[in-house]
Amino acid sequence: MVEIVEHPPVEAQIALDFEALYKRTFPVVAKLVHKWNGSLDDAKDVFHDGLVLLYEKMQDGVQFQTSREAYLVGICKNLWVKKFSKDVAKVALDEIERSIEIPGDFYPTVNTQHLLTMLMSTGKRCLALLEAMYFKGKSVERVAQDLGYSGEHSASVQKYKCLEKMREQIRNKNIAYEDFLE
Amino acid sequence: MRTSLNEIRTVERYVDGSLSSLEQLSFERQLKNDPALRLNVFLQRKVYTLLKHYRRKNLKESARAVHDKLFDDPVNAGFKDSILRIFKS
Repeated sequence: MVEIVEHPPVEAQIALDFEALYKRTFPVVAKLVHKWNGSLDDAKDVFHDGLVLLYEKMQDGVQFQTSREAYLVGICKNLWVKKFSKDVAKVALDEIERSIEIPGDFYPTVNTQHLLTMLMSTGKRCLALLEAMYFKGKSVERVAQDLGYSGEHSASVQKYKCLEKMREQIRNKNIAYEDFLE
Repeated sequence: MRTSLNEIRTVERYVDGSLSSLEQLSFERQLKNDPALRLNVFLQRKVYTLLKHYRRKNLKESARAVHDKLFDDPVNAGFKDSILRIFKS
């Protein structure tokens, strides 16, 4: 479930953070992936997913028992295991790394991908509004300002209208797919 | 605010667990008797799931942008070479 976080880093901060983490941690992950017979593209893939997950965990307020860098390496090892389960033995996970959980829904289902593609083609503005409210910790007031709504009330009404619109779109699409009980 | 929008707000509070226990009891009673409301809760949960995936997609886009910056900008040639060397051995 989506959580509203009070003071998460803004997007510019995320970009800076990603760059610092990249410089320090990508070489470590690249060496591991090479050892596991993976390619540079594999390393890139697993590292990018790792960054996303690290961020999610930071926003969820997960307390790391190690440095962020070590935790990121741990996430990448777990992602590798998840992706290529036959290699479990090769990926030596220590106790802390074993305790890192990869969310079961981390990789979207085909249905989710279809729905997202549809929403991205028809509802960009709503997606941007809801992302700002739920994940960037922006106040309704701030979102109203940024996205050009006339006031706090209007942005908050807009939020519920967006949820309503997206619900409708999913309803129509899912009935077309006949799989909404997935 | 329109009634339907109020419903959406209540569903949101139900899903994120911020209804008071009294409100929750009454909402769950409504749920039992109202299949349309049940479907709406299902759909709204789906919206939140989609938003989470949308967020992930955007974060991954940021990671890709940082990668391109580190690999395409000559300033970072040293970093790029050190990575390429790993995969040459």
